[in-house]
Amino acid sequence: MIGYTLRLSDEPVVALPTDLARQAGLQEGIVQVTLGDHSLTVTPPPTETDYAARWKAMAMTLREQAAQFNVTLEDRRDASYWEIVNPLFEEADRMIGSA
Amino acid sequence: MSPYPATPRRGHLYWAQVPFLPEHPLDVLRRTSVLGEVRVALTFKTRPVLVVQNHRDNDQPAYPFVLVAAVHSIKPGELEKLRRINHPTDFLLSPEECGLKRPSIVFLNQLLTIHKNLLQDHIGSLPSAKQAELNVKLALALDLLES
Repeated sequence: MIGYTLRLSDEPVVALPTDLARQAGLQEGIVQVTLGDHSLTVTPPPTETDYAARWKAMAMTLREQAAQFNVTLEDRRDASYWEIVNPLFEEADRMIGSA
Repeated sequence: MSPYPATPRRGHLYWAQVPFLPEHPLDVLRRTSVLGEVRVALTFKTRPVLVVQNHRDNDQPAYPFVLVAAVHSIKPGELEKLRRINHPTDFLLSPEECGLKRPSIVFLNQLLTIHKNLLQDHIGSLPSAKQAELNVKLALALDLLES
């Protein structure tokens, strides 16, 4: 019988190679090592739902940063705004990308 | 060694030769009743641009394009008005913030991809606070905050 040794680094979270995890009877994922507790916890690999949740958290951070610049998502462009930008848009209309 | 006249840097301003039509494309289409291909002369206009492309593509010599936004000059009074309105995708620059002689506006919802060879002289770079504002406003322009 072939024996496997999982060499743990100083990092509390280590990635366990898939093949090794399967041979050890574990599911794929991240191995959480609880120091001093002599235990391992296998966290399932991230799912699409997790990515959506992460993105929502990132979007929240961006919204907080936007607030720091006094940016609001409401459209406050009034007639005086269009008076300034319309001549600039006339020029923008003629610029083209070369890609 | 970069094969291009300038190696683009994100958040930096450059003079660029931007492809420019001598007339509005819709005016040309209105004039012609011919179906199919319509030929229009292409010119180039030297104007300032702000590089918004990521560092990897900027530094990759095999990748020939750069994503920019055109910089438009405005009057000092207009800068104050636009600052008060503070539209989420408008990026406003005072001369001391960017190295340009006049206050300017960059519409971050109007991005252009041009060839790196069209970038010319370096004008200046954004201070770190403006870089952060640029990141947030680009995210707003692409609706990344709405999820």
